[in-house]
Amino acid sequence: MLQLEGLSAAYDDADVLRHISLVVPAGQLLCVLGPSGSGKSTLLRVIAGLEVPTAGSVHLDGRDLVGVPPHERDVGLMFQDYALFPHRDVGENVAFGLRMQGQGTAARRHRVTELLELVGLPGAERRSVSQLSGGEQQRVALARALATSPRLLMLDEPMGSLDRSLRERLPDELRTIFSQLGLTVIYVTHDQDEALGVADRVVLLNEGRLVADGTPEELWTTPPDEWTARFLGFRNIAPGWINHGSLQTPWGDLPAEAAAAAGMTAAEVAETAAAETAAADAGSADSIDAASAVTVVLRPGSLVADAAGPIAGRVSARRFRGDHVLLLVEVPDAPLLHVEARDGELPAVGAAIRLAVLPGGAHVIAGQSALPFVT
Amino acid sequence: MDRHRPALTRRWALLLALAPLAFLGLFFLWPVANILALGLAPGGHWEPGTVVDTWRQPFVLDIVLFTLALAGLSTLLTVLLGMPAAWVFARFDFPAKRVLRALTVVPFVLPTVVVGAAFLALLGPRSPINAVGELLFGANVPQVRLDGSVGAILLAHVFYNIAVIIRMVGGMWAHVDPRTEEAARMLGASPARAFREVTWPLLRPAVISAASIVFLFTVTSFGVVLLLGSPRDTTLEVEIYRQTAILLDLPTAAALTILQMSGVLVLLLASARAQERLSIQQRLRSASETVRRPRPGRERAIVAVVLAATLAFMVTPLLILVERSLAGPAGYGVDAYGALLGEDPRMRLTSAPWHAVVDSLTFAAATTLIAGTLGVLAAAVVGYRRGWLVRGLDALIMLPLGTSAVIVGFGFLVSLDTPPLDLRTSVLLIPIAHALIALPFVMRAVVPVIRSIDDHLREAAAVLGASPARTWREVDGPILARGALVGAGFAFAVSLGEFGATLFIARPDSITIPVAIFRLLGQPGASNFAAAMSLSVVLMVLTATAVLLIERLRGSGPQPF
Repeated sequence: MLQLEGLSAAYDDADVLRHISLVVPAGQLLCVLGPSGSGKSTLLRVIAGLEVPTAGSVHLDGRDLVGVPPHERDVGLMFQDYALFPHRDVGENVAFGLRMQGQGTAARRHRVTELLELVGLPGAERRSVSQLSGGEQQRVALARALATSPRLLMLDEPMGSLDRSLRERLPDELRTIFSQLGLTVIYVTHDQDEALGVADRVVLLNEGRLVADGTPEELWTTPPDEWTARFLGFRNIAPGWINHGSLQTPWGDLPAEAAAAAGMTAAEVAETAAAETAAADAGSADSIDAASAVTVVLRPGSLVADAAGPIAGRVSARRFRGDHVLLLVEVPDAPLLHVEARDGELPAVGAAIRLAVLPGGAHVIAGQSALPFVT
Repeated sequence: MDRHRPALTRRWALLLALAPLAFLGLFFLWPVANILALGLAPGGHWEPGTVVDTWRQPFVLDIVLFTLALAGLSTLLTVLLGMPAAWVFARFDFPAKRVLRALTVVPFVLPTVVVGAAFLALLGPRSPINAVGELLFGANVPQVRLDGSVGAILLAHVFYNIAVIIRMVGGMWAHVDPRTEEAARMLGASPARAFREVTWPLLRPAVISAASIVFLFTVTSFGVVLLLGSPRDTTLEVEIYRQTAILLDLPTAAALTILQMSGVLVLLLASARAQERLSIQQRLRSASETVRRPRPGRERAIVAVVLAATLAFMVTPLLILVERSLAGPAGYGVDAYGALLGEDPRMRLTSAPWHAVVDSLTFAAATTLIAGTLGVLAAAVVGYRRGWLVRGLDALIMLPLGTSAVIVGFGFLVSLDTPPLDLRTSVLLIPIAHALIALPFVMRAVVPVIRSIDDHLREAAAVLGASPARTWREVDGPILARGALVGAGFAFAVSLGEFGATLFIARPDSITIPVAIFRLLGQPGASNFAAAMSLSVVLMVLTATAVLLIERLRGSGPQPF
């Protein structure tokens, strides 16, 4: 089990990590997701001992790691771009950690064979590192990091430089290996699809702060704030108001059922929002009954053409996306709507269209953020 | 670049190569052939046995062993003392880094005579150590003298060559991915073990390459050994000079020259082989990705100590040199500089020292013209073409640097003395010798510039409607011109400081600054010593100015070496 308590770090007086507290239970695969520059890699480097935190503590299985040099931490780190030793062959790369532990030649050879089989590169011992493809390098780096059976394995953008087909296939293979070994893993990435696909649990990092924490399903269905929703790829985001059971948005007034199936019912959201408004503005009690400010997220796949739908707009562009067609719909005085059309007749560009929201297709977040109104 | 289309046709390349080839043939190959003939066929008939007989003399073995030991020890010390600084400059970012790095190059570009004079000032009879002793204990206190010792030569060699290690090893180090070392640390290697197992093997080719250059420089080191060594401590280079200029035994000098040239050739080949064998294909990082501020605490302290120690070592001898030039019998003043303007019979120079300054500058200008023109022509061939012509020309131009200045001077002496090539009294002799030595520097400065011109630039110009000639003028021309200016600066600086060859061929009535300094140091008397010091400072300032101008012009372009 890894415990981080109030962890902070800075480069040249600029804060990179701010008070990160986090508990990773043994055997969990935790994804740290965030844009570049959010402090993800620094978090790994601090846990690894390669950077010194300015405050806070790191405990691994109860052992305080502050002041322990990297080579005595028993933590594995797979670097972005892998950092394989170019002057050593595949076998020597994998055996490096075993050699540092003082294991004998026979034991090392046995373990290397075992690991190369595990990562799907049997018999690659004598190959030169420079002859490996990107995917093979990644496997060797993984085998090297696994060789000493570290208590905690950390991967920094492991899919970083791989092409798309590998990026889609390898996470599943990694998951299989990790669950076979029962490893505790921290997996850093900036790619939300990769994170949501591979992790038991995802934490989001923004400007050095933990901003969201949950299972992939939780984060996807109920992003806790607008920044998270935007980072996860939601585009149809706008301020809204809950008023007498209906959800007012710049696109149109939606029925309460639109948000009903989400984590909170519309009524619950209205209650929370109202309570917050009341707390902020205790003087005007009648504001409870007035509009309650929320942020509305419309899922692009939950918007369907419906002649009686509450949203009226005009198709401004159509983009082919393989399994669906993305329609960009202009609604007067509202942000551009992204609609995923999967079947049925496609409206022509320039055609007027009316849209309805499937039940649960709208997610409401309490409060309105100060983020700029994006169209 | 497989689809590289040479911007220079074969015919033009041959035509351009003609002038440098003729120059090298006439002024390098022909003299060297004469030295060979002098050694192998003394008296006109073939007697290679005499060379072997000379080599068999016991004093030759002593000299060879001393030369190798001195160079080996100098190289080892230079690497050991240079590595920490190379690491600091490669891996860390700190205030005034650019200025400090430029400062580390200053000793390397200083004339050997200035370096010798600086260490003489630091360690010799008139050193500050002795001045303090005299002040405290009176004139009868025994003097501390470190000049005339092997230690002084070693120190001067390290001082002179440390920049090679900092630049070459540091240059490589800055591009080695620091994460490979971190990966080793994560796998359980202590910092020392991680360095030994990972960083060192990746750096080794650069270290060997830099060390072989330092070894080459120290094996052929002349001015420093002549000024700081005792008469007992004779290297091959100094012995060749002694046999030629003092004992007038040309066949022995020729035999020793053949020995030295063969040794240098073997060394160059061995170093090239070692580099090929040890070179490691690795993904290089851009230097800006690998540098960082040192962490507060221990790391910052280590970086500060390494920097302070390196810079103190590199600056102290030069400061002492300036201090000594200003220290007169009646306190500090510029008397020694005033003395450079007048004729003092005690100096035993044929004219006032300032004439040497004028002559030096004239020679340097002529050298710049010759070496600049020929160097750019050769660089154009080497930079634009590839194949046997390029390899041959490149190697031929580098050869004079490898064979040492003394051999160039000696060769001139034995070959350019018969009509139609009787140049003994020609004023051109010195610029020609200097140009021979400066050519490699000019070429090395211009070739990378040419090679750095992105083919896409030419393609872009062509697509925008420029004809091939116009493309060359608009794209290559301006870039090449800057490279040529840098090369010319090198030629100027090399000529100003050249000592070994000039000592052979300078006529008494027209000498260069380094030769004048050497003569002044050879005369007794405090005023001559002070004049030598002040003349050294003048030379140092001139060279430093030339080098600063080069750095200015070069900006952040590719580095020679």
